[in-house]
Amino acid sequence: MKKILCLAMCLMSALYASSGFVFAAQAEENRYALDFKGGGMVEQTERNVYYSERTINQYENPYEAPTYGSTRSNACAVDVGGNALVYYDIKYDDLVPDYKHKYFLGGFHYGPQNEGVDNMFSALYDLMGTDSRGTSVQGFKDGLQQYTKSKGYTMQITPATGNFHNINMDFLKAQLEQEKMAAIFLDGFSITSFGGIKDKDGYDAITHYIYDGLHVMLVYGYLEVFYYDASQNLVQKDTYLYASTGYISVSLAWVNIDRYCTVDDIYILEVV
Amino acid sequence: MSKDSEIRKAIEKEFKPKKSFDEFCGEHNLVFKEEQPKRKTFSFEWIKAILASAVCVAAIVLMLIPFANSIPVVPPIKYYGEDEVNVVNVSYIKLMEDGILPQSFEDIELYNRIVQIQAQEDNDLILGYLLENVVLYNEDVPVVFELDMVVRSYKGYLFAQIDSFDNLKLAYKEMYEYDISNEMKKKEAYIKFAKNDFEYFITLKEYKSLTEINKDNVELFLEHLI
Repeated sequence: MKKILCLAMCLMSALYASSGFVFAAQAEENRYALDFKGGGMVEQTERNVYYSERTINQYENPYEAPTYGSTRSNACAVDVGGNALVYYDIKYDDLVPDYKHKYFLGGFHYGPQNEGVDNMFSALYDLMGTDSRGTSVQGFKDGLQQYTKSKGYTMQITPATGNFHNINMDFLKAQLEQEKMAAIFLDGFSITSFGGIKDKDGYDAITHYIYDGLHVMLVYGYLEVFYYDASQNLVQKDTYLYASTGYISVSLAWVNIDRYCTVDDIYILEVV
Repeated sequence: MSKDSEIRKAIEKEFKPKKSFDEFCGEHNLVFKEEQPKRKTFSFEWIKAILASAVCVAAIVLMLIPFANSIPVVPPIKYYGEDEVNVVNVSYIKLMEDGILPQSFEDIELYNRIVQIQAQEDNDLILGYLLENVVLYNEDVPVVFELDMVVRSYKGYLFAQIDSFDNLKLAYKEMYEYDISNEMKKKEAYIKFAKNDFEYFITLKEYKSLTEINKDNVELFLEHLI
């Protein structure tokens, strides 16, 4: 009888302890910033993909994406939200007051980052509840919606998560092709610069800068590369997203979805 | 054996046992010097000299030890990657005033961002500058390009795309190294040069397909716009 009582008490203690851990983990919600989990660059690596034939399916927003930054530490979510607002300012000119796009020789060009952009970033930083630890997903969504509402518009935020590395790829591609932007929340990722897929004789040499830690990027396109052998069998498919990375000197680049990457969340952002 | 000893022996042999050697010499007024004892090959003086030298060397070494710490030792350079830097916005006018930008950057209107890059752990350590999406043109020059430019002032700043500037195959006027890449996305040219205390790394991109990136156009750009 004593043994049964002891066993029951042990079981109850274990359950109580494990539920405590769960509650503790829930209390500490992820905040997106590389420093939140002590992240940073892990390594630079190169891989080769050999093929007989290669085809490409891609879409890149004709306006690309802005690459402005708030200059505050651990504010990648603020940068992503702010760059999305600058992008939608093309359509809604008063979304970012005191900021103007440029047009030159018939072409569109994002204007210089000025006080208007800096003020918008400051407002977002506060509205998102960002601090030195970063920004939570909920804080990102709430802050962006509050800011947009204050300008008389609505920020529609639609999940695009699914079965392909946690992304609903067909839905995402369709939305991007409608010239919408997406925010992707990552827990470890790699960046490949636009010069980082080198077209060699019979193979591609691909460079990845691999990072760990939590980070948010603004997505504005996709690139799918299909590699075939001599018998026309598909031997490999690589999927990248065009992203405003938040990293200076590779501010626009590719993020590979198939490897070195964990997607926590992805949302379509649209101002209406 | 010395010559004197040989003569002495010969005389003793010749007159033995009639006269002793000393008697014979006395009669004939012969005088022989006493032979000197042979010198030892390793004398005490040598030992003293070696010991004195050793003491002198030891004394000099001991005297120099306190100065050894003050001899400047070049520490290994510290490297900073992209996630170890902070940025602050800076105006191109300030960079022009500081002589960091080429003259052709005066009055640029089309650019996205110009930042000063500094070490996260020490904001006083300026690693360089970044100019993003600058459209550089001149009405007298028939080329228009867009460019990103990293101006590096600290050798240990390893910006993310630095490997694109390794092993550039072409050169112009011995000052510029460059290469043209036609990768998955589109043509880009990578240009590297150094001036005063700065290293310049330019990624040259086509702007609205107005000017094709090729050898002639890149060299026109270098001749007139940089």
